[in-house]
Amino acid sequence: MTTTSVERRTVLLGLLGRRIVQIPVVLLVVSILTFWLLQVVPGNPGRNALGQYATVAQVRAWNHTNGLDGSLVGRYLHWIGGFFAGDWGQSLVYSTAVKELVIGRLGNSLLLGLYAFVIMVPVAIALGSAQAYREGRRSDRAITVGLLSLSAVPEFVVGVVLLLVFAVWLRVVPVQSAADASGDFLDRLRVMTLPAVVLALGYLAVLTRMVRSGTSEAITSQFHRTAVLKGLSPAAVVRRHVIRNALVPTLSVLGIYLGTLLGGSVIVETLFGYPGLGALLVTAAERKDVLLLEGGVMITGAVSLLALLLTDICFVLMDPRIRFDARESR
Amino acid sequence: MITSRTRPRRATRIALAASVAALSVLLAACSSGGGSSSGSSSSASGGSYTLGLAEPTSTIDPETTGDYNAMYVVGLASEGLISQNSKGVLQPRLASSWKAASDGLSWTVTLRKNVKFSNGKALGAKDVVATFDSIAGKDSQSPGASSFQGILKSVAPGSTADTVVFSLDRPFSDFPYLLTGSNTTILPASYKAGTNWIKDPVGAGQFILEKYTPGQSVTYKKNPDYWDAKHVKLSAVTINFYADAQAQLLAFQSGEIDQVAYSPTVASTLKVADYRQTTPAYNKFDGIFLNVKQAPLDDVAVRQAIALAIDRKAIVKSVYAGQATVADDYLYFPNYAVQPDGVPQREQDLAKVKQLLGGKKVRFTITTLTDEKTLAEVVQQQLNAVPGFDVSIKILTSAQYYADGASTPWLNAPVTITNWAQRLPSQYVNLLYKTGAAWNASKYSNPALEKLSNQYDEAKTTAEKQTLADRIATIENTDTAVIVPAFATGSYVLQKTVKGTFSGPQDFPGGFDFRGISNSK
Repeated sequence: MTTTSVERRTVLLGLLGRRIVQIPVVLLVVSILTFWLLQVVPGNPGRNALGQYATVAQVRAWNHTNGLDGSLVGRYLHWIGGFFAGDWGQSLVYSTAVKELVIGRLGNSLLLGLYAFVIMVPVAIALGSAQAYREGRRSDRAITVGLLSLSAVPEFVVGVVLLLVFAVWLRVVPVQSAADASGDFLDRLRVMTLPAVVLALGYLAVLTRMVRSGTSEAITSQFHRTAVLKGLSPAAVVRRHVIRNALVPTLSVLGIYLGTLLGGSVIVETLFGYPGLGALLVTAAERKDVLLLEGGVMITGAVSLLALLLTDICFVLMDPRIRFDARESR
Repeated sequence: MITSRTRPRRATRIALAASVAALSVLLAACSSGGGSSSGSSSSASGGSYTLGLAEPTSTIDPETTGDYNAMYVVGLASEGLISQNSKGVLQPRLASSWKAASDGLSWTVTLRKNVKFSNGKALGAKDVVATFDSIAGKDSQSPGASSFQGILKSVAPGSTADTVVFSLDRPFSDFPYLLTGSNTTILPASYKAGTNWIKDPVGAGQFILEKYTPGQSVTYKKNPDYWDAKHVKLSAVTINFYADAQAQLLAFQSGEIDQVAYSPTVASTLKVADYRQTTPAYNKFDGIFLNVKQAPLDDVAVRQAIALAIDRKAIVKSVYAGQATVADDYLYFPNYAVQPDGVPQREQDLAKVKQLLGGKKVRFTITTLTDEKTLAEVVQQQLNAVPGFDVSIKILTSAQYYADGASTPWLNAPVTITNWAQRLPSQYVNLLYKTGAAWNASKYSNPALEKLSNQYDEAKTTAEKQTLADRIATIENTDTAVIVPAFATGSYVLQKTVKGTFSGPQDFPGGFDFRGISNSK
């Protein structure tokens, strides 16, 4: 085993060890803050459930029946105990088990996020690389202006325009993108295409710029010139020397985007009626459905933290120079 | 001639068109069946029907539903004893007839024979008794309980197996109308209040709830055991939940749903003449409640001045897109059997306003919730255009407006705008005008009005009722504790493939009646 691979394994193990301790602590703090903050916002779950015509006594009775009238600490401890035991409680809004609801929506968000990711990453790499190789030319400027203009348009505007074209005029997709999870996969993919495209467009400009900048730096560096001069084929130069170096800065952005995409996008989900986690959490917060919000926040938090961990691991694997702060501080 | 300037533009257009075409082909290729994924096809002659709603904000339980969307979800799968048609006339549903005792202190309701719940079990008197015991009982969490307070004493099986006797605290000649109210659909006697109805949605409605997908949709199939199943032509109904009215409109335009609620936006977007439209039916009023205990509104002249300063016709046109009737300041919906006589219709009269104000400067804030923002803004503009008024508005979220506690804005702010669903005139007296009533936002008190209202409830002849209605309306109008700019109607724009006529409004009093409706989509 070489010194480099031993060092890399040590860095990886250290990173994993630290994150195994950090992630539960972060999630615990987030869960406490969420539980407390939900008490601060105006609204009463009993009033939400029974409407304006219920009396105060009826609202109070409903809250009591649903275990919402005890002390904050007592209720939190009861919830966290149940959560670790696998009982996430019942959603007050949807009258459905929180676990079933959150896991189902997480699956939908993961699928949509991955679909958007699959659309976005190859397009960004292709456009960014093309721009770097054609730096300063008219096509480079045109792509930059086009993408920046597109990113300046809010998601809901792009979404509405796409809905008008593809749902109302051409009628090739439905307005509501909530396809049955047990249905035909191709049909599911079809209804998810517009939300995935809108999600991808939101991040495409920045990602393309990152790829362009990384590639541009790589192809003007000494090692690139050496690789060309020693007679490597252009494909080999790009594969072995350009991509690997150009994508290091891009990876950090990708990690953050991946976490965000997987956690769901409220605007896109709401616009297309897509049953993702983001819209679910907004509803839970608005209606003070504390158990649903807690379950959703814990899962979203875990997914985001794991996505960041994945990014860090990719960093180490792609760039042996990366050591992270604990090693650097020695 | 193609110049160097036009060439890139043309190229861009071609590229754009090619992108759209490519994506369309791709999407179409992915489609397994073509068209919308949400519209389920049907082999039955009546076809299937898809409609759009906002996601319910209250519980989905016939006994405790508190918002329109949840009522729709439960209303398709359950049914009450009586409903109202578009003109407000009572229609027998699970009940075949009803009759008051000679002293007016009880009503005997006869049930239809051979009615079954969707689980196949027979629906009988014991189920009706259990339902009303639960709604109006001491520990009831049903918002519908308020309709029966001080009126319904007890419910018991009648002398025959198919009758139920409702004993009253006092004679109430309009009692059958209360049986069309919210939360009154009949549930099995075995149903326990507060249990999760949506998991076992048993009812005696026209459809059977097959699948509820939280936040997305509800699917129903025709109930073969429904007492009038032969007139229910549709084999299936689907409710899709949309984020807002705009999304519903797009879904209607795309053919994804078969109806959309008529609104100013719908009127301006669609060429309504190209579609069908249901008969408008009265469903609510948006009342301006004036706190008669607080200056400057403690002066009846100021309250009357406000009522005369607003332009009701303009409000009907701009706020309701014509889907409302100009109202006077008393609470008798135009489709109610007895209409007050002799109270002149208030119209904007700026000379009279000037006289009533007498040079006084009137300053107040209208507090309301986001749903009433448009009306609040129009009223503010109209009043501020009249010398003497300085009106501001405060818009709150629903949670803030209806917040619990002694200082809740909707019952304590000096001027509020709140919408109320259609009810009986005496119910409004009991809920909104009666001394110390729970929802008396005006803090109004007038024992004479309360006495007249009780006499009205006891009245047996139409002539007697007419006289009392005239006096009640005169007091409400003169004292102007509540300004009623308009009585709103609701209707739906339907796709042309929808055949048949809805007999009543699509709401709880109307009983969500789909008999006679079919869809050739």
